[in-house]
Amino acid sequence: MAGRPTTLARWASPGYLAALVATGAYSWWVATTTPFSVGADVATAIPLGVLGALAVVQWRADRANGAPARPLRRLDPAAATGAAWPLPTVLLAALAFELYNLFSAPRSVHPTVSSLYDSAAGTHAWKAVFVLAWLALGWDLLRR
Amino acid sequence: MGSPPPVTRADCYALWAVLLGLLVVGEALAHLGHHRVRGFAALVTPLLARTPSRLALFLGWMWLGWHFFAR
Repeated sequence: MAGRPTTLARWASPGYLAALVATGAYSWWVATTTPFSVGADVATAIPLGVLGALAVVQWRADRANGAPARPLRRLDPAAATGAAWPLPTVLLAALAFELYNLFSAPRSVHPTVSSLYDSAAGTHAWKAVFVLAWLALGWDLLRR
Repeated sequence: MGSPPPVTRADCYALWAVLLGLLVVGEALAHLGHHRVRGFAALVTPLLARTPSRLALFLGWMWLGWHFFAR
């Protein structure tokens, strides 16, 4: 019976693998750039421009088709039945702690998310992982 | 009675680790715990259904990248 390929089959397809390799290579290159440099500006601006353009095209197509609110994409309806308060509560607590650290000193004793990232992204490989995660998040937001 | 002990670097790192751990556990429960907890996808999807909040989330993503990788 012909049907939609499984998730694993889609991920193992040549197109997906090529996209993954290309994105990984791009992330590796972005990780070589230094903040506040032209290279970093260009490296960050490219995906911003590409995904931004795709988002505009997607939005215009939705308006032209008179599409209703975008439906859940491959999200199990049962996933929306669980308790909604736990994760937002933890995020609010993290936000409060971030603000506490932001207005406290010294930064070495009161690390903010940015200073934690600076420490974690000290190696090329880890910075590339963060870039890849950011690109994956943008793509997921676009496709939902 | 003296003043409370100052907050140390270890205290702050420990609290960050606890918060991160809670997020990971919460997301894991959303996938493995028969949906007793809503994961990030289930929480964000209704926001993505509306253009203003979708735009806000996308702009937030753009800001994240610019803040951490360019500036």
